Amino acid sequence: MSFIFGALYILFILCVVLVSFFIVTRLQAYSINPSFTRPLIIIFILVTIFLVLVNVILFFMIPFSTKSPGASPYYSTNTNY
Amino acid sequence: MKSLKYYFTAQNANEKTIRIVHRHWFNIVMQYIPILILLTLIIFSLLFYSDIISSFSSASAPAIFFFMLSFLVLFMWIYGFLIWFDYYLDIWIITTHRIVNVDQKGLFAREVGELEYKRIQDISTDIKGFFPTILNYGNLTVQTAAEQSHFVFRAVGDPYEIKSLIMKQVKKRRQEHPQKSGNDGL
Repeated sequence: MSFIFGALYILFILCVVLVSFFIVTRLQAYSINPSFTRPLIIIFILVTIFLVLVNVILFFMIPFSTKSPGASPYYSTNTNY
Repeated sequence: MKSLKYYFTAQNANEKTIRIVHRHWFNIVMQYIPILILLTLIIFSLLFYSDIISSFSSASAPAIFFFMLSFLVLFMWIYGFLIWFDYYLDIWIITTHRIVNVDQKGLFAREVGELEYKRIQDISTDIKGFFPTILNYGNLTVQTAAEQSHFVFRAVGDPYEIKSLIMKQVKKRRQEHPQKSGNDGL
């Protein structure tokens, strides 16, 4: 289950990165006023990087497996068999 | 004539940009309404954070809650920027020689058309509805004799002023080159 979530999440982040890349390149190429768009591109990149990083950190903070390690015989810490 | 710092590709050496026309600001505000609703929901969810978390018995609820919020904020940021991107690159450029229509359709589609003043036959404005009437914005249609019969400035502010600006340029152009546009309308 966590594998599916992980895969979907990687796909989402890839989409965000690709869309951001295309926004920046299109704005740079087609802008009629580069002096206005240049700082805006920088702000967009910085805010996007910050939001993606926060999102990735929060994703890794989610405890996908709620089972305790002791519940499985393979991960048992009990040595008194 | 006001000299602007704007420029576009395929601009002639002696061609000057008179006006860059974007859609009216109210048009973009209307597109931002779903984002504003989502933002209000996020703010309310933060205000009632403890109530929401206590309704879920799971220990991982706070982590999921903040992840979902961050996910929504990221989505809103990208989507909001896409709306602005579409608005900013969707322009009509009125120059001393012609009108250039740049139609940005999302990220991967862009149409650029141009119209010389000598080909213009008719210009009409169209302001329909409550908000367009109050805020003075609407469509401006430029009719030509060629295959591309319509050239529409969609939801632009003060279409009457733009119309008179174009007509002024058409007259000026025809005075400069009377032999080329003798049989045209207007």
